[in-house]
Amino acid sequence: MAGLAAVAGVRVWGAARAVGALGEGVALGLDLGAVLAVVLAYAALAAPRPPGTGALRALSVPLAAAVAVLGLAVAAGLVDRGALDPKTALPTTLATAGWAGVVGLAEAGLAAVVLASLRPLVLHRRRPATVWAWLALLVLGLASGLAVAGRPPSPYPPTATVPFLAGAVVVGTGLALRQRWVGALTSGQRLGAAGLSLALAGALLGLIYVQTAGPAVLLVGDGSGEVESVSYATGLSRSLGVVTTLALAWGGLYSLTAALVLLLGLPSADRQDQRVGERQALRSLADLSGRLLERGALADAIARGPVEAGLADAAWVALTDPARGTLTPAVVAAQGASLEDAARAADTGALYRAALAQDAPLVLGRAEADHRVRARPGDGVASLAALPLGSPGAGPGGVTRGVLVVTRKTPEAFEPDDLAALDTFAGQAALSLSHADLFADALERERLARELALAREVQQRLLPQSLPQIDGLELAAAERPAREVGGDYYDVVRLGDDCLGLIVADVSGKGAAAAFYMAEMKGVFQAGSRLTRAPGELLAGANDALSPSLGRGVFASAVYAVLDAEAGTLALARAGHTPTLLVRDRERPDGGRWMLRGDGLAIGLDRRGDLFRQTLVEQTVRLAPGDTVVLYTDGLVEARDHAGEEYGYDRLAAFVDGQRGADAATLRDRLLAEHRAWAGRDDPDDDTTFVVVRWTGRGGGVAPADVASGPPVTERPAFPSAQPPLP
Amino acid sequence: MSHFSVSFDRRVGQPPVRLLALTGELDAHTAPDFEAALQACLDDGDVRLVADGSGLDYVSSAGLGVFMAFVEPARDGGGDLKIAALPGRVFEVFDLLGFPTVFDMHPTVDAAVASF
Repeated sequence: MAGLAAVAGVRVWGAARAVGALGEGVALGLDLGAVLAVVLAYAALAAPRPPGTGALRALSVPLAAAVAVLGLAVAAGLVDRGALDPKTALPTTLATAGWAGVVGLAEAGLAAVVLASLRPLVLHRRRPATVWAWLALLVLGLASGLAVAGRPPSPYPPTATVPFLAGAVVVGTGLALRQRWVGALTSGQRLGAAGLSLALAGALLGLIYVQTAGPAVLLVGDGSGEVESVSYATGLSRSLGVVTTLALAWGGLYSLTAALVLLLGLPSADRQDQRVGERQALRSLADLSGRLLERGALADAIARGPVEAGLADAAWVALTDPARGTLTPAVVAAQGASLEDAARAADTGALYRAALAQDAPLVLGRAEADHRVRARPGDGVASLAALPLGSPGAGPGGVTRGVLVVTRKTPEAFEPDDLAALDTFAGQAALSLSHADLFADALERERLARELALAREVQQRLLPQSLPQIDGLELAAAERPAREVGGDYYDVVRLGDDCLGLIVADVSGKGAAAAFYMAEMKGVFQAGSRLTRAPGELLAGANDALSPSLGRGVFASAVYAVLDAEAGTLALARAGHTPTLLVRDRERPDGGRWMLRGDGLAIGLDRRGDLFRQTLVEQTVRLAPGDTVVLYTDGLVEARDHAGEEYGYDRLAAFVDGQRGADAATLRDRLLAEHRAWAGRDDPDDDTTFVVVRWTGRGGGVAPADVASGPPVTERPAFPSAQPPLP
Repeated sequence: MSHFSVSFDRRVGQPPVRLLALTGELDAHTAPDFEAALQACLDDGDVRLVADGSGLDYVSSAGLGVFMAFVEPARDGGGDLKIAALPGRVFEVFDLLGFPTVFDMHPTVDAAVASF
């Protein structure tokens, strides 16, 4: 503006001193200065995008300016009686010079305001070509102005300007047809915008009219010469006249087109295309969500959507996979770029977290300047938006599953309505993903259920179908399988007429693997119990046999007991298993209850077996009539009540102790009921298995054992020769 | 839901011993986290490892399996996976299975670190 004032001042000063031959030098300087002033004014107005620039504001600002300048120009034409000297091209009176300066200045400002205000409308949803066309229009307009610099005032263009003018008209007409901003308006806004556009077109075209044929002309000479009249702006500078006329004419054309589009409800062609594209993208996704239940294919469709709808130049999808513990999203699909380029272009994880943190799309207008974007200028990632797939809040799809990243090759390319469409699309995509995940979960559940049923069947078949009967002995066994099949196993084998082998074992792990290990355990136990009657040897053999086939980190605990009814003894060894409960009748002097816990490593802990043998201890009980022995798995003592408290060894021992006189089957039933009551439900967390052995004896009495210092057992290393040498 | 966390960003002593502080319930659901942490340590070239169990409330057989699975790689690499400062009830579970025979277990983290 200061530039314009200076130009006007110089012009007035020049006119005042004009004596005909001040000449072309001054005129040329004025022309260049005037054009430069328009450029500077445009740059000052257009460079920063004012926040909240709406279409109505974009129209009303130039309209107000145009009406003001129109009034000013008409006033100049009516008031001023001066003219332009046809020879010197200088005003004949000081007043005329003043009017030319003021009107020229105002018109230059108006041209800048019109261009700067309409720019956001033209560049709405720009593509690279749009930006180039806009720049071309500006350059061609300036070139047209500069081509006449220094020439005497005339309303007619010299031949030199024709190519520039023609180019400006072609480009300007093309740009005038770009009315994409119209689609972003509500119906109420459309009416207002139509009125403003029509008024703006009238004001701008009216201004051109009054300055060529109307009351606002500046006569050249007496108006009878070859050139009759020019506009006041041309009187100031011919270049300025050309530039402002072009700008005003284009502004008039643009607003007239806009008014027509708005009034006739003509959706501009590309606008229509875009809506169709958006609908298509959403519909295809909705269709897909019914059929595409696989994450990868769905991600591909999600990445394709925005690009095919023309909402983005490239798009990629990064998904988290909580089921596999992957919380940082990984790029799984890309469109408009390769997977590798997409993964390289930005720190998608950081964008995802930022978008999540604000629970809204993250929009980067100048993406290359953002530290999370690794793409360099020229890589085609000038604008970027990251849309979370799902929100952290509640509702269907209330889990975030990843992020959709869309990019444009031009900066500041995502308009609010683009983002609204993308947001809708991302919401739909999240829902489709959630359906896919639900389906996958259901499949996985079904697979697990089948596997579980099979494993349970195997488990059931591995357990003994009946228990041996031996004089002087009662046996009862129970197993409560958990929801998920665990690795509990028990078995009883008859070893000759008066002898039994009992095992209770627990393999770590669940499901089919546990059932498999159980089967292996049964083979080892059935074979081993026929080879040896020494519990330690059997367990050591089991450790040797099972260790190679147990998976990494899998182990088994087991307790093996050999009951010799003839001798009235129970010999047992414990491989890391829960201690065995022995309850002796309180009536006897050696009555009491004990947890028998001889040393022993779990099977699989020491796979070479040396430590296993060194550690293992055998305990032998000389049974007294009424003795009750309970072998069990940890599910029995680890059952938790509603408050989370474990049942525990002490409660178990006290409960069994309190069931004096009950036979084995009754005790089993009562213990099961007790266990169920403690846990308060029918489906325990863990398998629970126990075997009750009640020794009723064979008539003969047994002398009381010494229980002053511990349980009535004799203890010895299972492998004395394997003991490490004493230090 | 069981809660569990493992932090393993501390190294103490010279040569450095990597500490893994375990908190919460180490069960079938959380064992993969612990596994990942141990694997990360091995990947970093750390084979002198001490699991600080002072914050453990519960350990299941799946959790115990992780110790078993990683003690051998640590020992093969010239280091060890030691277990320290287990609360009484949790120690019971380890003890019942015979872990103290196979693992180097210590009442305190300092003792475990000093034993390297």
